[in-house]
Amino acid sequence: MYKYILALSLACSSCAFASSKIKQVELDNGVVVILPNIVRNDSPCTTQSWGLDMSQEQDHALYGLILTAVAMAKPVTIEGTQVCIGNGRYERISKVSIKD
Amino acid sequence: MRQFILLTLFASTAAQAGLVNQVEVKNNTVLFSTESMTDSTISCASNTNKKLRAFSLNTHDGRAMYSLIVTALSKNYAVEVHSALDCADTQDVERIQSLRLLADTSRENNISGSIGLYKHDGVTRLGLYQSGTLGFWRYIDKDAENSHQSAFKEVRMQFGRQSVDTYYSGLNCTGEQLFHESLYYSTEDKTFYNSDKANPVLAKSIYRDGACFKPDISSYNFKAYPLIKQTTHPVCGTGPCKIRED
Repeated sequence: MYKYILALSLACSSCAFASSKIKQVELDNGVVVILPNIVRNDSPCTTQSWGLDMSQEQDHALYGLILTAVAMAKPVTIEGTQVCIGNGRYERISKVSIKD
Repeated sequence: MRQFILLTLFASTAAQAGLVNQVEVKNNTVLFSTESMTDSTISCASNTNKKLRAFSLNTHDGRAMYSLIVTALSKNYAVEVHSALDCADTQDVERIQSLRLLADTSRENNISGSIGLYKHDGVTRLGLYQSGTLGFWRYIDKDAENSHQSAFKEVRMQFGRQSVDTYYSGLNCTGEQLFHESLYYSTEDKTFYNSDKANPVLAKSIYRDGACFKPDISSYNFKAYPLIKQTTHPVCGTGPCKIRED
């Protein structure tokens, strides 16, 4: 069981989805909910959207990057923390990168 | 009864997506409105502020919503607003619970400065505007634009005049109503007029600017077509298309 959890943890420690433009950004009860144009199907949470916790300082910078990508209509690559926020609905983002 | 209450609550908090058309900051509170927003119906909202919604900048949520609304405003993206059904942030303006930005992912990367052709709602982008003269606009379809193909399309429509000439199959403006122009939008009655080109009919009288005339010699044997009134344009929707910066 321990090996299984470790393997799963290693496999998904930096789960990312393919580069995609952002389709929707929503503010709801302290959580920024992000829905990419290409929807993934491997979220550990109850929805496939990504989340940012606005009570955490480090998520403010990621939010700024997401808004820049939206404004410039550029695709982003997102990596998750495997931690669910917003009542278990959204995987919290650990990394956002914008590439041409 | 419970279902009715739930339905009423849902209907009153949900809103149609629309472009942001006003934003102001006052005493650490953001007041804004969108084109699609209906007047507030909650009792705490004053008559002068019924068209506005508010949120406070004193919370993490409020500051994040402000960034979202400024992004939407600067890029002409639509937002969808859900009400908190109270005026907790400012005395007489309805407070919002959540805000959603709807991005147009069909846009090319960083196309600021380009001109797009949009449906009448001003939100749905049809493609890249190319050129136009009286009566038609040419654009590159958005799917072709993204794949860098050349696919010109045209939207045909005239609009702006107070009223359209209507022809009649009988004398003294009697008989069947006829029309000669191609697809036309009357700004007076917000209706599209079209003509059934497959069925030409001899016109014997003309109704123009509130009076009935006989056709003059040059228009003798003038043929018009049965008039078709329609409420929507096949491409633009419920009104004329819009051209604006992306």
